[in-house]
Amino acid sequence: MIADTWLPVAVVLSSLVPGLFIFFLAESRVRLRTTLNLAGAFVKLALIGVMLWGVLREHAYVFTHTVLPGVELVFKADALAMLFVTLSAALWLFTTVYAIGYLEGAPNRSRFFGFFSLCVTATVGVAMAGNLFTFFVFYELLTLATYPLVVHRGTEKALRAGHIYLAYTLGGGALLLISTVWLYGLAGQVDFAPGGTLSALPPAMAGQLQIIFLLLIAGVGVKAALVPLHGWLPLAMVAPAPVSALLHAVAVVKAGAFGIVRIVYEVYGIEFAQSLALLLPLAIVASITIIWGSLRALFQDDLKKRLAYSTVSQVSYIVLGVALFGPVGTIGGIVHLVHQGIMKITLFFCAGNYAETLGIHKVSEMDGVGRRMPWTTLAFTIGAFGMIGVPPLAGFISKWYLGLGALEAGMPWVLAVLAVSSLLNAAYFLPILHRAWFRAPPATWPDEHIPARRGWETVPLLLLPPLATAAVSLLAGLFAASAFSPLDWATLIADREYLQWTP
Amino acid sequence: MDALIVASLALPLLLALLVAQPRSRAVALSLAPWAPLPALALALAAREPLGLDLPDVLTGLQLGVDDSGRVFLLFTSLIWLAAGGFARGWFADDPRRARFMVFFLLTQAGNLGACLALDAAGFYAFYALMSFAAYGLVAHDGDTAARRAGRVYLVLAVAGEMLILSGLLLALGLAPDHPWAVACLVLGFGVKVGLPLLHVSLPLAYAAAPIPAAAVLAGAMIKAGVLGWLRFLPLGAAALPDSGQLLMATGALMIVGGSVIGLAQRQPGAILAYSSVAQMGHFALGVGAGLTAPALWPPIAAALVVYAAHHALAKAALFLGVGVVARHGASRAHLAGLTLPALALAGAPFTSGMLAKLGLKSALAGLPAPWADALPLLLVAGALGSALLMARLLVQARETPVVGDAPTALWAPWLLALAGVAGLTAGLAPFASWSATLQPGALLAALWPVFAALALTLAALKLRLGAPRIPAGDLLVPIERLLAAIVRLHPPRAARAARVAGTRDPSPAAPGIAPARVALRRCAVVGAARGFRVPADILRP
Amino acid sequence: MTDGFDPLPWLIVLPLAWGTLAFVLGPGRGARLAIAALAVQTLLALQLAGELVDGGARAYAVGGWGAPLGIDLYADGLAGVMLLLTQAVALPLAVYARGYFAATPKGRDVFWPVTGLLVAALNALFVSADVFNIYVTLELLGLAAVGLVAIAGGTAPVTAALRYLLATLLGSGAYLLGVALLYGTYGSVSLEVLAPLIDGDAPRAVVLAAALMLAGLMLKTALFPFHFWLPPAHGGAPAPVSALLSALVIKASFYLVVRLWLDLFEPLVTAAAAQLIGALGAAAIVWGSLLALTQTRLKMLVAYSTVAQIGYLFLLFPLATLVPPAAADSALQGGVMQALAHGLAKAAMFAAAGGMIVATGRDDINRLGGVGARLPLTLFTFGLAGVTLMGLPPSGGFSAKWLLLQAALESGQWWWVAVMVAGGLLTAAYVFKVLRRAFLPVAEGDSVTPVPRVLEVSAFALALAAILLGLTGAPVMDLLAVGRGA
Repeated sequence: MIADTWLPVAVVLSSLVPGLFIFFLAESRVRLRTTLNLAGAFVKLALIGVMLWGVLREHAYVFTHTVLPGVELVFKADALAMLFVTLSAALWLFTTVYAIGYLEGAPNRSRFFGFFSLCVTATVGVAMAGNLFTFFVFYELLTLATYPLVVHRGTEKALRAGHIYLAYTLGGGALLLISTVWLYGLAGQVDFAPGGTLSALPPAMAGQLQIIFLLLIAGVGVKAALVPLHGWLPLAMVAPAPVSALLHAVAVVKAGAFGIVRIVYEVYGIEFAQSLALLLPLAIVASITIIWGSLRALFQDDLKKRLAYSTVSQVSYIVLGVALFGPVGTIGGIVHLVHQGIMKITLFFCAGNYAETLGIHKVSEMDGVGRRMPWTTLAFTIGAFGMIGVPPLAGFISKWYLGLGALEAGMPWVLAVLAVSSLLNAAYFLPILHRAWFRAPPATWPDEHIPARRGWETVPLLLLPPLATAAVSLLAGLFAASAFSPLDWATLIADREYLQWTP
Repeated sequence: MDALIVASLALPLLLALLVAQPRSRAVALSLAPWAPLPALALALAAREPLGLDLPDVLTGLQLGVDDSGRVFLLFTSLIWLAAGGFARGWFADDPRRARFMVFFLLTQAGNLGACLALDAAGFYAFYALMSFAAYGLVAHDGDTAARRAGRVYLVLAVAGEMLILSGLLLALGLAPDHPWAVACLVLGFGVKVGLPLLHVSLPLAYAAAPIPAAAVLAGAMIKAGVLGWLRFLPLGAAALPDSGQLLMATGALMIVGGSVIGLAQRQPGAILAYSSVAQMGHFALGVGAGLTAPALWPPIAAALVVYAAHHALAKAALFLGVGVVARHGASRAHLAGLTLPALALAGAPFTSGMLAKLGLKSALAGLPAPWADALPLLLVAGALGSALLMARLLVQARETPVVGDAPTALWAPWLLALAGVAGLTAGLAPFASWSATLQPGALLAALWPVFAALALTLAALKLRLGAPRIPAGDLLVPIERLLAAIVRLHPPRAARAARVAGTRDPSPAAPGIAPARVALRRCAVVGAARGFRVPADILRP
Repeated sequence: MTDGFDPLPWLIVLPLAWGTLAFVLGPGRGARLAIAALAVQTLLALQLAGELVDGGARAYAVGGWGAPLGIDLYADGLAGVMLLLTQAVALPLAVYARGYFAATPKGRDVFWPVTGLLVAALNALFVSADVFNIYVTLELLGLAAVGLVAIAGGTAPVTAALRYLLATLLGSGAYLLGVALLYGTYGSVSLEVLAPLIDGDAPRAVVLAAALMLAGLMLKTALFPFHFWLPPAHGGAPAPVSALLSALVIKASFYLVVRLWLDLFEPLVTAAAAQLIGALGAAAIVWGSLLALTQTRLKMLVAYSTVAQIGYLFLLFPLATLVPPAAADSALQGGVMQALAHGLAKAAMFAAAGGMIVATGRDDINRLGGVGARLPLTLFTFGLAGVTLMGLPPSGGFSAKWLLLQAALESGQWWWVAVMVAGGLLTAAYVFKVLRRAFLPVAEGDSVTPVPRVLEVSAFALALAAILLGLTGAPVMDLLAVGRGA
């Protein structure tokens, strides 16, 4: 069937084509640009819907194109890919709506939305990559597509952040390239397959495979912001809020985490990785990152910076789940991929709203903001409590499965990591909530330029996306056990990853 | 019945939502006090255990009413009903009453849900909702004391949540009787119950919270911790003598220590808080006994459930009474209203207190050697302590001048709580072994602490003996001072600079978590040395 | 073949013809003619490539005389690939040049005729079958290139052109000496005849000949440390000229090094020599990149980038010499892919740089503010070309790097891995140095004037081709394999 081959490509193209059009669109063509953006987002979602339906019935969607002898570009829609691609596409829609509101009247919007679409294209490519080569291609493309977004404001600070971002990510990309080529040399084409493919290699290669694993993880660990490779992330928050939202929730950071998922589960295979003794070091690195990120977040007064360090910490929950041997830990890690995305995007949307509406950039300026912007603050509250892991929000489900997974994997110390991290999360989020809800608002806001009008505390385009994502993060947690929830899908994936596992 | 279960939880949540909305606020506020009615109806109507499985929710939510859950649901909903009505009168002129009611209703939903939830994740979810929403109740007044109380409450509550979550996971993932699981659960729920060192938030919170909030905190929510113990500790299933005896010893310490420190308090809220600590010591005692000797557990469980109902209703009634007296003075009727629950707490004859204490005593009778001898002594000490505390409360209350008549909105809910106290005695009567109760020995044993306390109090009044003063929160104070001293030794760079410049930052301290923040400041000092940029805001005392 | 038409000679005749005609017709009509002819040449090259893939490598005897008397042409996969590259670069550049010289007419009278000569020489060089003919084409090519450098006039370009002339004459002189030695030893200049004669114990004169020829060609390719002539020549010429020189002219001498090394002197080469050449390549990568980073003039930066990128080309030799066949294959593929990718990308980059210079009116990296806002397509072009040079996917440069890395790892020469990776990062550093500036707003007192659309679009086409090359590597590699190995 032609559709089976071209559907994955169409999903990638559905943002690439509008993106390229937009890139060359005159600045004044607001309506056409908006139409293109939204059309792309909706078409993508529709295509994904079709594929979801098929993947659920074990239908295979594979596109293959030979780039070089022995090297193929492969798009494949498997369960894991669909999880990430659905997340990306859905959040892209929200972020596009938000960005349209956020950038109203700002300069260079064609460029912005052009790269924005490219960024999503790269993310979708990362998600649908069917082998390590394809993954690498889109992983690097993502680096390039994001740089212009990070430096979009063109200030010295933004340029510096962009510089550091590049230094980190290109360095990581280089490591990833070396290890990918090395692996191809050892094993030929490295396809992503449930259970991994490397266990078939002769045991004499174990040492090499361990080194390659280290390089691979270091390579993708830069984007996943594993300590000590996280330095770029807090700086990159100079980007406009929609970019930060996308960066932290789906695009860059997630691509790194998703890469770790793919490498551990579908290149090495979790069982093989366990037999090579690779999981414990990974768990330790993730734990250090979790604690370190939270500690640093405590000391940030800049709201977006605090959120950025929080991302450092939260994304490593995914890595931690990956490193826990056993299906429950797997579920915890994979489901957090989705949960962290929707919660963090909510928080960044809200931070953007505060900044755009009232000029609030710092935690210390947030006194009483709950009274002026109750809905935004409600969404923020939901996001923050979700991050702490309070039920019935999505973060709780992640934490629950991670905790149980840690016990299943025989690493009870992980519980302490989770508990300490939650405490720290509470320590840096609850004071914000206290300020927002319980303090008296100041006489004037730092820079109020969107007045409250007709019951709207800010522009509807800015308000609705965070409310929607907050609602989703509530529903994803509340109805976690229902069919088609992220948890359900993560369970499906975990079922397929363990070939020989018995409890 | 399923509909009633759903309504018990949905109604408070829905009303909270409606109160938050300016458009529906007025109507919702007038309906808010009635929010616990479905739960009350459920508790009364559920004659046999019933359950409602919602497999799609969370990790598979199981709601239901079992035997002990039913009692907890009954007194919890009753207290919330009384407190809700009381709040309406209490906050008649408060501009911030809408905010209070939102948190009040959310806390209520959490508390009722905790009574109804039968699975671990569900219980934890409602318990967390209750704990976090209650911050809004504790910190409502917004003055220094309320902020400090809120801070301490929140630190301990969050720590408790984490311990509970870890404990639940350990129990599910390893084994319910794994020592770490037991330790985490005992300590985690111990935050609410007020185990030593974890109790420091109680006196601050009870004193700082508005009266209706204090009533539910002290009456209903503190029992949710007990329910957590009952539900998730391997009671009756595994013998853990070491942990059990440790917990029993802790209980003994709480009974004695709570009474002693309570006597050194001034504020009624603090007196009642320490009384709670002492009373909760009985639960620690009972649960510890259950861990030590699993065979004894069934009678102990029954006794503890009765004790929970008794203490919850009496304490709530006392708080509401304290509120009425504080607003409208110590009229004769008011004093009489205070005396009834006070007597019950002291375990005077023919009160629920006496029945509860007797039940506990007989249930614990079969304990091994040292405890068998120490127990009667301990219970008597507890009774005497309670009686003394109550006497002190009444003596203090007596001095409040009378200011007009209490409005119906205040006294009617109080009356409801008092009726609960009285009704419990009547309701328990058929189950209590009256033959044991009516024996002269037992009567005397119940009566003499009351009289002894009365005598001691009168003597103290006559001799004008002032009680020594211990600040509310006792050990918290030196701990805070110690942390502050550490900080003073190592002021962060920003603070040093500010001191040199002779300026103080105009904005007040960041809210949150005083002790934790101080500890963090310590980290920050170390961090600053290594080039961290530390915003001054988060570190200011 | 069935219809008797062979594109091979036409690829040489056509450019000669339009070059001459352009001289007669003048720059206006000459340009149009050149573009039309180049389009035809592109089609011819494509046809030839198709025929090669189908029918294998083949010879063509000019006038039907054949070796050893007549002039033989010989086309295998490698030659086919290079022919394709030449036409594919020259066509968009011709379009570009027409627009460019419309804006800055200095030297446009000479440009078209000399370019015709240059393209003819290139095409002839790729299909020459004997070392002497190669010398002739090489000399022609060198003179045409020097002429192009000088067309702008002025002191600096003429000085650069003279320096270039010196280097190119020195290089071809050394080459000619080698040819003489070979002829003296074996009595033939035909590659076909010579190849079987040279073996492991060839006389010392042959070794000397090999050394001279290779050294001369490396001088012409501007391999470190012979790169001194390149930056002023490439950096000083008008943008279309720089693009032609960087993209194509140096590739011709590189092509010859590959041909001689792999086909003719294969029995003589030693691992030490290969490592030495590799080391020079590595030094070129590092040194060229570092110097590129320190430049303040945009075109000098791009020129030094060429110095660095040439280094990658020469990594082919250690990776393809005395290693397992799989690695050698990868290395050759990688090296050729790098030549192609660099050709397209560097042409695009010089073209884009030219556009930016026309727009800002000066050749200064620090004054590029506003380019991002006014010339987004040009900046995008520069970025895409940079992507290829950095070796980031998906691009021809990435495919090249992938293949070279594969060869390095398969032959256990991990040190080249480090060099390539470091080179990629350094490239990123200097490319983003430009991009970063271009994102800034226009500086006070500067202005950015729009440039003709054709300049932007033609440059973009080149960059796009460099990117697409990364996705269509497989057919190119099929073509390259024609006439090799099997």
